[in-house]
This record gives sequence, C-alpha cells and structure tokens, in this order.
Amino acid sequence: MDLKTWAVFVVAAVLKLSLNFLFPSLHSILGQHVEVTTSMTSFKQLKEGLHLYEIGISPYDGGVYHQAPIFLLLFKFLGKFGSTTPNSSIINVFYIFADIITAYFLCVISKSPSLAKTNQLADWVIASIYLFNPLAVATNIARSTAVLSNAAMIGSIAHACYNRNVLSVMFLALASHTNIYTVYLVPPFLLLWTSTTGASTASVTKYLTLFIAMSAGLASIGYFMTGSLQYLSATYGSLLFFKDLAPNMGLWWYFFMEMFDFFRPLFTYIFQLYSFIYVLPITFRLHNYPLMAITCIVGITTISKSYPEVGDLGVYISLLSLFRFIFPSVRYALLAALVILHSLVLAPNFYHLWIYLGSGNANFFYAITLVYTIGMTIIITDTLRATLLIEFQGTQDPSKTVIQI
Amino acid sequence: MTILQSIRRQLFGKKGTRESLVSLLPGLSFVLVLAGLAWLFVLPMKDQSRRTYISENALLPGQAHTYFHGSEEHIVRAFKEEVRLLKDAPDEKRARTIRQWLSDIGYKSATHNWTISHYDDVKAGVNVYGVLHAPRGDTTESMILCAPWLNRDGALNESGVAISIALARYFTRWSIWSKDIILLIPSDTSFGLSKWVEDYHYTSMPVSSGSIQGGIVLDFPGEGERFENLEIFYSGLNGQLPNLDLINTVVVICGHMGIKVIVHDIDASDDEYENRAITLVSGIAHQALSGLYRPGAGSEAFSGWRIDSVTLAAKTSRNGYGPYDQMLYGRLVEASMRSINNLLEHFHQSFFFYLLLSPHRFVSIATYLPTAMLIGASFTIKGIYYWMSSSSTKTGKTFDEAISAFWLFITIVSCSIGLFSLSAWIPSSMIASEVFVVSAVTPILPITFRLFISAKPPSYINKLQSYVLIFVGLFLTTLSTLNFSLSLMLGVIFAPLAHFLTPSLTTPPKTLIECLERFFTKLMSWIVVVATCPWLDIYLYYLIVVKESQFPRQLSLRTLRIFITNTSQNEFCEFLSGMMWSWRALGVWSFVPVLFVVWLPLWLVSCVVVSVRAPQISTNLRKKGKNRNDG
Repeated sequence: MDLKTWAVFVVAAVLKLSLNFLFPSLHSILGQHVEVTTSMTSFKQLKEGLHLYEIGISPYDGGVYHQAPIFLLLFKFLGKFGSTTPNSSIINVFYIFADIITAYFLCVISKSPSLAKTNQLADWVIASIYLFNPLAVATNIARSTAVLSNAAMIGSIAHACYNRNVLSVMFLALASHTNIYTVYLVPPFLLLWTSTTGASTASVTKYLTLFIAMSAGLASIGYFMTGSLQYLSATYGSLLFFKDLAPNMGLWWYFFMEMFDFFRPLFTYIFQLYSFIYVLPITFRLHNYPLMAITCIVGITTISKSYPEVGDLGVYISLLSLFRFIFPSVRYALLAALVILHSLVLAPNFYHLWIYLGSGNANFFYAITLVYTIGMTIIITDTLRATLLIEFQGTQDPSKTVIQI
Repeated sequence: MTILQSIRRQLFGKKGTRESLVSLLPGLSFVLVLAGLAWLFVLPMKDQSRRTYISENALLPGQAHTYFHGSEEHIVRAFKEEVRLLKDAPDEKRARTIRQWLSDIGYKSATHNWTISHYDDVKAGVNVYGVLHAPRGDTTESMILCAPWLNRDGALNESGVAISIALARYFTRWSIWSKDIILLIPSDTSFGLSKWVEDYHYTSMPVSSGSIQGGIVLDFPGEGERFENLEIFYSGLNGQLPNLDLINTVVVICGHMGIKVIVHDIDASDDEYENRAITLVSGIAHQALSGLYRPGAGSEAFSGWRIDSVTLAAKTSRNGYGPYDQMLYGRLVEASMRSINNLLEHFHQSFFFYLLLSPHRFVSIATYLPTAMLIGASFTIKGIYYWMSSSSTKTGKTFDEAISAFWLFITIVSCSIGLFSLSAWIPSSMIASEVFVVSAVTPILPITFRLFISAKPPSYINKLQSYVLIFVGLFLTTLSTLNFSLSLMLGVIFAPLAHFLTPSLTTPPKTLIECLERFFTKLMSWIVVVATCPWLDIYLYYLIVVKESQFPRQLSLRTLRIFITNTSQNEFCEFLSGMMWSWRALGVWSFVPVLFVVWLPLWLVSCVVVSVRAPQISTNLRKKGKNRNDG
C-alpha cells in the first residue's frame, strides 16, 4: 500500500460523502432504479424488515423482506451508534468502509504470490477502478446490500490467495449466505486452495466440511432470530424460485411474466440449471488459472442470476483489472464498452418511457436488458478467449514459461 | 485460412484488413448522415405514410348525438357578456366570480393561487377550477376541460371560457358520465396551467378527483361567434405527444360535423408532396422547441403526467365572419368529451410516437426513426474511427495520451455543466449580461488554446475527438427515443463538426497545390466552427424566427449591422430569461440543459481541434499500416 493508494481511498470517501451531502435525495432516486437495486438487495426493504424485527414481528411476514437475517443483526447493531436512515453518518461511514475494504482486498489479491509474477497494474489504479467506477458508486449510494456481500466475496478470494484458508472459508460462507449464487465459486475455490498449498484431499475435505458447517451455522442464526424456518423460503426461496416478479437488468423477469403458471417450475429449474451449468466446465478448463475461473464464473452469474444489478458488473470489471497480462490479447474491448455504455444509458431511459410516461412498454426495457447481456457476453467470451490464447502460447513456445495463476 | 487470406488480399490489396476497414469508416459515417437526411425527404411520400385510423374501439367518435344547441346558445352569450365584464378585473376578483358561477352550476369549486419566483422575478396568478363528480363513476378517473383565461398569444379567451362554462353547466344534466369532469380556468397557458397540474399531482388540493385520463383545451379568443377553421395543437414538452387516438377522435368528429381541421397552421390539401413536407418540418420544429420561450397552446402542460390532451384552437377572421358557429365548436367539445368518457382504460392502443403530415396522414416511429438514428450513429462511427486510427500501436504512450485527452474532455464537460448551473442560479436580469460576457470570451478561446496547449501528437487530438463524438452519438441516439425532432435538429447542426474539421498541421506544405488545399480545409474548419457556435446560432434564431427580421438581401457591412442590431437589449434579455424559465418552471430539459451539456462541450472540443497544431493523420495511419505489415 503506497501513498497514492491511500490518497485514492481518501478521495473516494470524500467523493461519496460529498455526493450524499450535496444531493441528499440521490440515494432514494438511485434506490428506486431497478437497474441499481433489486428486491434482494434494496435498502428500503431492509429498513422495513428491520423495523418489523425491532417491534417483535417476524420480518419475513408480509413478503416484503427477502434478504438474509444476518443483515438485521448487523443493522440493529449499527443502530446503536446512530439512526440507520440511508443518509445518516453511521450508514455513510459503514458503506464507505465496506467499499474501501473491497478495494483494499482487490489490491491485496493483485499482490498475491500467484498474480505478482505477472505484470500488474499499480495498486492505486486497481483501487480506483473499483472505487470510481460509476456502477459501483451508484450501487453504494443506493445502499444496496450487494456492496456487503461483494465485499465478503472479494475478501474470501484475497484470503485464499494467501493460504489463509480458514478465513477464506468463513468469508465465502458469509458471502454465500447473503447471496446464494456465491456458492458457485466453491469448485474454483477448491482449485485455489489446492493449487496454492498443494493441499491433500483430506485437507480439502476439511475445508469443505468447514464451509458446510459455517453455512449451516449462519443459517441457524435465522432460525433462532425468527423462531421458524419461514425465512428460508422468503430469502433463498424467492431467489431460487423467482417469486418477486419485478423488472431488473436480467433475463428472467420478462420470460416469467409472459409464461403460463403451470410452466413456471420447469423453466425455473432450467434457468437455474443454466446459471450453474458453466461452473464445472470453466473450473476444469481453467484449472491453471483458478482466479480467472472465479472471475469468469462471477461474470456469467451476473448474466444468468435471477436478480442481477449493475453493481455486479462493477465488481466483475474490477476483478478483470487484476489480469493485466490478458489485456493485449483482448480484441473487442471497444465494442463491448460501447454496447454496455449504450445499454446503461438507454435502460433508465426506456424504463422511464415505460413506467412514468406510459408511451413505451415493457418490450423497450427488455430489449435493452438483452443488449446489456450481449455486451456482458462479449466481455466474458473475449477475456476467456484471451486467457486460453495465452495458455496456448505458453504451451507452444518453450522459451516462454507457463504463468500459473 | 489460406482462402481467407487470399480473399483478403483480393479485397484490400497489401494493406492489413484492420487498416482497410478503419479507413472505410469516415466515408461510411458521412454516407450515414446523407442517408439520414435523404430519408427525411422520403417520409412525406405517399407510400411511406399511412392514413390515420381509430385504434381504440371504445372511443366511438361522433357516434353519440350532441344536444348542445338551441337555447344553450343564450347561455353561452350570457356567460360571454359576463366574461367580458371581468376583462379588466383583478385576478382575485375574477377567480372569485368564476368560482361562484361554478358553485352555482353545481360543481365543487376552488381557486388555486400560484407563485413561482427566482430572486425578484416573481410570476403569480390565480387559477380556478371545479369538479363534477361522475354519476356513474367512483372518482378514480377524470377528464379535464380547460379554458385558459389568456390564450397562447395573450389574448382574452372570451368565447373559449364562456363556452366551457356553458358546457360545464350543460354536462350536469347528463347522467352518462363515468369519469369526473374537471373544469379548469387557469390564468395563462404556460406557468399557471403547469403549476396547477403539478400541484394537482403533488399536493392535496381542497377539491380533487381521480387520475386524469384525457383533456381538451379550448382556445376561442375574441367576442365573435363564428370561426374559419380549427387548428389542433398537440406537441407536448420534451418531445412528448398525446396518443394519436385522441387527435384522430377530434379529426373524425370534425369530419362528421363538417369542420375544416388543420395542423401547424397549414391550410392546404394533403394530396401534394410539398404540403405534406412542410407540415412534417413544421411539426418537427414544434416538437423540438415546444414550451421553450413563449407560452404554448396549453395542452403541453399535461404532457409528462400521462394525460393525453389536445388544444382545439378556433381560428377567427378579422371581420368576425366564418362558416362555423360557436355552438358547433361547443358540440365538437361535447362529442370529444363523450368519446374520452367512453374509454375503458387509459389511452394506450394507438401510437405515441408519430409525425403528422396532415390531420389525416401520419408517419409512425418505425418509418421515421432511421433518420435520427442514422445521423446519431454517424457520430459514433466517426468516433470509433478516430479511436482506432490512433491506437493501432500498442505502446504505453498512446495509453497515456488517451488518459490525458480524457481528462481534458472531462474538464470541458464539467466546465460546461458549471456554466449551466451558474446560468440557472443567477437572477434573470443577469442572464443577458452573462451571455454577452461568455460570447465575448468565446472568440478568444481558440487563441488561448493555441498559445497554452502545446503542439499535440495526432493521437491525442484523435482521442479527444473520439470521446466527444462517441458522447454525442450516445446522446443523440438516446434522445431520438425521447425527443426525435430535437435529436434530428441537433444531429444536422452537429454533423459538419464531425466531418469538416481538420486539425492544423505542423509539417510545412511542399507544393503549391498542397498549400491551397490546406488553406481551403482550414477555411472550411473555421467556417464550420464559427457557424456552429451555440451563442451565434441562438442569436440568429432569435433574430430570424422570434423577431422575424429579414436577412439582408444585399450583403454589406451596413445592412448586416442593421440586421444584427435590430433588437433592444431588453427584448433579447427577455427571450433568454424565458428560455431559463422554461427549464426552471416547466421542466423543459430538452433545450437549455442540452445546449450546455452537449452542444457546448462538442463545440469547445472542436475549437481545441482546429486551433491546436498537430501533424497530419492520414500519413501517420499509412505509416502504421506499413509497420504492421513489416512486422
């Protein structure tokens, strides 16, 4: 951590504070945008759940709150230091801290033994790619709880890179407790755990058991808090079975809106299976590059998960910034950037035409989410191709050493 | 692979595929602009447009018999007499009296005082309105009958107000209404009306009703009882339009009643291409600039709130004669209200995006959108060209240049936004001074750039152009879905900046022809930059369109001076502050903010491009291509 990186942290903190201070209604405006928060991460619904919890009613009654019970404990605890309105000082500090810790972990990953062999971007660049990324800034100001689960995910990757596997397992359990799709990262994590330490099958089994135990422990917190298992269907259930049918940046909502109800179970399974189907092949194929496998799976999940938001893209791009060695082999960066840029500008515009002005309709917004997905697909395939190309060149040319990451 | 390579060699010769494709882009971009413009002229052709038709079956326009005639005429005349007596009364008294009339008729009535102020510039007035709760409704839906006290030209809407009150009285006797009827008499067509609509939705009003489904604005000025023809005003703010079904309904009813109906003041047959084309262009101008600096027809105040509305303006002749009588106008409004009343759900069936060629013909979005989209896309493509032509070498230096050009771009955009915030913040009386100062500073800018920005490598200039062109392309394509007309207008104004701008060269010219060629490209660049200067264009627009002063036939310094100074500072100041007010009070974001956030940055970057010296691009590209092939 050099001085420049710290400066970036300070500037990012000041930027977010001043945005919140100068435009006090910004968080509610962004919080209403379906591109930025979903019902699985919305702060407004968190507040509602928190209120119900504090007055002794089960927060999962009424079908509004869909987030993990651990957030209730966390924000109740934060409430001891001041009010938990979206713009209060404690929430400001907490979210900025979460963002900075994520950026810090990203810098840590870039310094990890496996990545450090390659030419890396400077720490301050990596930090600013995450901290000044408009997508991540918007997600942070909207107070989406995805900021917290992403911080946990990046944290677990950072610890795994340094062999602190128990900590890594803890963070991973936390991340997948708050965002179930993080479970998809377990196979590449197994690779990471074994590749960095050369651990035996026994120790891998140990970590896996630890992960399951941790997850079960976190899950039981919900049971003790609410006194029933109702929360499972409200949180994981609605995420897995797409119960809250609202528009978002993903591919699900339009499809399920148009569908007859008796087809729903079939297509729910197919869509969920689709989001999982890439995990194992990518892990096997990129066994030389476990970190790249993780990044790819994060990217694919961003497209195929049931409630995606633009903040996920911000995290994915930040993860990509760690792989400087593939940049020269990336072909369609300009194309992908333009497609994503256009879709991000047009998405709120078409949503506005549809919902507020009434002159557009749902097809407008859905079309643009498709374009967004195409842009994401271009990035994923392009980076995957670049990685495989480098691997191929490494095996072909004996003078070049295989860089194993 | 060999086949592919040979095909490539056949197609592009010795140049690399990438270089060849990149070198095609400027041509493609220019062709797109031409194609977009050409498409605009294709639109008025008969095969491209369609006849309008009623899409929503529930409307049943003109099917119900109308009974607003006979003795109702005495009531209209009586109210007209009363309205005339209130002509010079103060606002408060006028509102109180009308409110009393509405209460007497049986409406729940209220007055609505509104004030908007910006420092010492205060605008205020009193609106009056009443609600008739529907005998067959549940107060969840309503329709609005609006007769502004002053019409769009500031004339007393005498017959309009009288007819609307007589109609309101007449409506109470019917039991067929399934939607509440709101009778609104705002003090004017712009701020008063839009403030009422805003307060109706945002605050709790003493008398209220449900969501407004549609509205008719009555505009029948003067004391005459007859009118010549009916003009429909439909453009909303920020490019919004009412559902085409509403316009069709009015047109069909007019057809039944034998009333001649026109749009955009063009009273000519739609059999001729020329008339359709003029209507189209006039419609585009209206849509792009609606609500900008002068009061609109009234219906645009409802746009943006999901309220479809049109203004029915009766055009009276000077001598007071005309083929149609005021009761016919009343029956037209009655029949239109009956049709809106028939709606089972909000207007949704027909088009929201259309351009009218005549009251009976229209072009739908699928047909006209390519015009603006092609022009918008040409900017993006040119931007991609500048990006790619400057980044074929993979050295760290290009990357640094890209970053530093990006900072300059961000600085220029931030300065423009800062200037916009300043203009919105300062008192109205100071806007003119601000514009004078800014336009006085503007000519110095290129000189400053030339002095303070040292000669930049071409890739730097190219990157800068690429950012701004991609930004403009992104903006125009997005805008074309919201306000097609403005997008098209700006695209046409900006196009020369993308195509006729060449950076200065540092290498000395070798031959005389080269010298001449350079002189002309340079001259072209400067002409383009001067002609697209936002301040100059606004002033010219003001002189030619607003002041309607003639451009001098014989060009001499004297005639030009007379032409340019043909205005007083006060009038121009009023025009400018009117533009700021339209943003501040009416929320018209589609011109003033756009001017500062898009036009100004593009123009400033163009200033940088023409004034900063840089080596030639094309030779550079060629060299790079050669290097590539060698490698």
